[in-house]
Amino acid sequence: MTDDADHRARMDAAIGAIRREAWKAAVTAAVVEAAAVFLGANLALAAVDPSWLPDRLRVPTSVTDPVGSALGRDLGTVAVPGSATVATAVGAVALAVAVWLRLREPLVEQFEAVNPAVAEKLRTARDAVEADADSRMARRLYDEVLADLRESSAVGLLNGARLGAVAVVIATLSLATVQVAVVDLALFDRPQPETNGSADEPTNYTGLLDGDRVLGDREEVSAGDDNQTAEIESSGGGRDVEEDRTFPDRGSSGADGGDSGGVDSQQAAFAAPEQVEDADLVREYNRRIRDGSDGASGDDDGSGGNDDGDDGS
Amino acid sequence: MQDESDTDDVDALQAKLAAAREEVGERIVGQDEVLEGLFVCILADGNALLESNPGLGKTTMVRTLAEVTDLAFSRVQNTPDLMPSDITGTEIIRETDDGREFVFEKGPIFANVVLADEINRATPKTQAALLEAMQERQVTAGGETYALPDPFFVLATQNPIDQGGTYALPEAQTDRFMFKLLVDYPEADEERDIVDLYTTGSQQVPVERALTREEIREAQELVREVPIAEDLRDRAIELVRRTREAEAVEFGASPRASMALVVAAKARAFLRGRNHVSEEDVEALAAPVLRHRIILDFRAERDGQTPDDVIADLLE
Repeated sequence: MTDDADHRARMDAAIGAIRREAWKAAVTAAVVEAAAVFLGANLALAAVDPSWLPDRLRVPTSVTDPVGSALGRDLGTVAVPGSATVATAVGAVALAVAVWLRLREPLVEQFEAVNPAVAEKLRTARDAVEADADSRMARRLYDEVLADLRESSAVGLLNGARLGAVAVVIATLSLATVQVAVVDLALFDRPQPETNGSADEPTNYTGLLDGDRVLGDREEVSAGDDNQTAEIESSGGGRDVEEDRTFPDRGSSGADGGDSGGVDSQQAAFAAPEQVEDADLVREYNRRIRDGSDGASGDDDGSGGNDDGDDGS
Repeated sequence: MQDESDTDDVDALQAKLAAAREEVGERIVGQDEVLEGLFVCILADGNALLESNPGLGKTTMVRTLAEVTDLAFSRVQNTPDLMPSDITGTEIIRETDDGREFVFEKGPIFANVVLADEINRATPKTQAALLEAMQERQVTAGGETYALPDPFFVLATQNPIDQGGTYALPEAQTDRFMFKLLVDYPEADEERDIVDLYTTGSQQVPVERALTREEIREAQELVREVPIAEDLRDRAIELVRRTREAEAVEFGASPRASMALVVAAKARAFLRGRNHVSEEDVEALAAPVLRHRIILDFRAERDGQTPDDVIADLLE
C-alpha cells in the first residue's frame, strides 16, 4: 500500500469507526426509550385489564418444540402472560421506530453536529476520500482530522438530559409495575362470566385473589337464638321416615338480622353410574339377592341384603 | 518521511505568506481586508480591481506588495490619451550592424505585477488591449506572440464612476477581474497612525522581501489542491446562479464567477493556514467576487440598493 493510499485508508477507517460509534449511540438511546415504552404499555394493560386480552397466551408448539429439542427436554405446553406479550410487542415496535428515526440522518453528519470543531474539516475529508484525493493538502487534511478525532467523542450523540428523563420514567414505571403486580390496581373490573349463582361450576384458576375483595367488607353479626333439633336415621335405607321434619330454608332466617343466614337448597350430587360391563353377572347377582331375601325373611329384617356399602351409619 | 517534508514545506510557505503580509502592514496602516484580498488574488492567480476615492493608498499598497514578493513591478498611469501600444509595446526600427530592423519593444505590461492606475481614465480601446492581454497572458504585435511573465497579475485601480473624466469598464471586461476590492476611508485612529508614519522620519518606510516568485508559484499550486466539501462547492455555485434569477439583478454573474469564488475560497483558506475551505471563506469572498459582475435592476438602484446589499440578501 502506497503512502497516499495509507492516508486515505486511515481516514476511511476513521469514518467507519465514527459510523459504528454513532450507530451504537443511536441503538443505545433507542433501547432505553423502548424499555420505557414497554414498561408503560405493560402498566397500562395491567391497569386497564382489557377483556379482549387473555391472561395467558399459549406459545405455539412450532416454537417450543425446536427450543425443547435444543435444550434436550420436553417443554410441554408453554404459556406467557398476555399483557407482557403485548407490551413486549409494543416495545419492539418502539425500538424499531426509535432506531429508524435516529438513522434517518446520516450517522457521520450526526457526529459532525455534536462535534462542531471538527465538523467542517471532517465533512471535507469525507468528500476528499470519496474523490480519492491524495494531494499534499488532502493528506494534511487527513492528518489534521485524524488528530482532531482523537480529541472528539461520540458521547454527545447521547442526549444526556433526555436519557436522564427517560431513566426517571423507567424507574417510576418499574415501581408502578411492582405496585400493580402486588395490589392488582385494575381501573376497571373485568366482567365476570355468567354463573347463575351455581357454586359448583368449575372456574379457571386465575391466581390468588384479594381476600377482602372476595369476602366483602367486614361487618358485625348477632348470634342466632333459634335452636333446631334434627335427627338423622341411623339405620340403613329402605324405610320411610315416619314423621315430617322441617328444616330452615331460604324463607326462615336462622339468625336475627342476618341475610346470609339462609341455607340454600341444593340438589344432591350423585356419582355417575358405573358402567357395568357384564350384564350376565348383574343378572346373576340380582337373582342371588332375591333368593337370599326369600330364604332369610324369617331371621332377618331385610337389612342384611344391603351389604354393598351401607354399613348402618 | 515524505509526508513530514511536505508538511514542513507547506507550513514554511504559509509562514512566509504571513510574514509578507506583515511586511506590507508595515507600510499600509489598516485596510486588512483589502490586503488579504490582494494576497488571495495572487494565490488564486487572479487579477484585482481596486476602487476608491483618490488618496487612500491604493498605489502604495500594490507597489509594496510587489516589493515584498520579489516580483517585477511596473506601473501604467492611465490617461485618456494613452494608446494600447503604450501598454503592450510596439515595434520600433532599430539600427544594427546589418542595417535597420523592426524590434518589438515590450511595454510595461511585461512584468509580474502590473499596476494599472486609474484604469477607468483610459479610453475603452486601451482598456480592451490591457484586459485582453490580462486574460490571454500574451501579447501579439507585428504577427508575433509574446508570452507574459509568470506569475502575472494586473492590479488595477479606478476612481468611482461618478467622477468626471472616466470611462466605465465594459461589463465583459470587468468579469475578467477576479476581485473588485473597495478601499474605504481609514478609521480615525488608523488615520492618525498614517499621518504619524508618513510625516516623521524617512518618507518611505522600508520593507523586506519575504516571498520569492517560485514560492508564489508553489503556493498557487497548493491552493488548487486545497480540498473543498461538495456541499460548500455547491453552495458557491448556487449563490452565483441565484444572481441570475434575483429580482433585483438585471444581469447576473457568469460561470467564471463560480470558478473564481471556489478558487478564491481555497486561496483564503490556505492563506489562513487551513487545509480545507470553510463556509466562512465563501461568504467572505462572495461580495468581492460578485459585486462587479452583476448589474442591478433599475428599481433596485432607485431604492438605493448596492450590489453588496443584494449579495448579502442572496447569502441569507
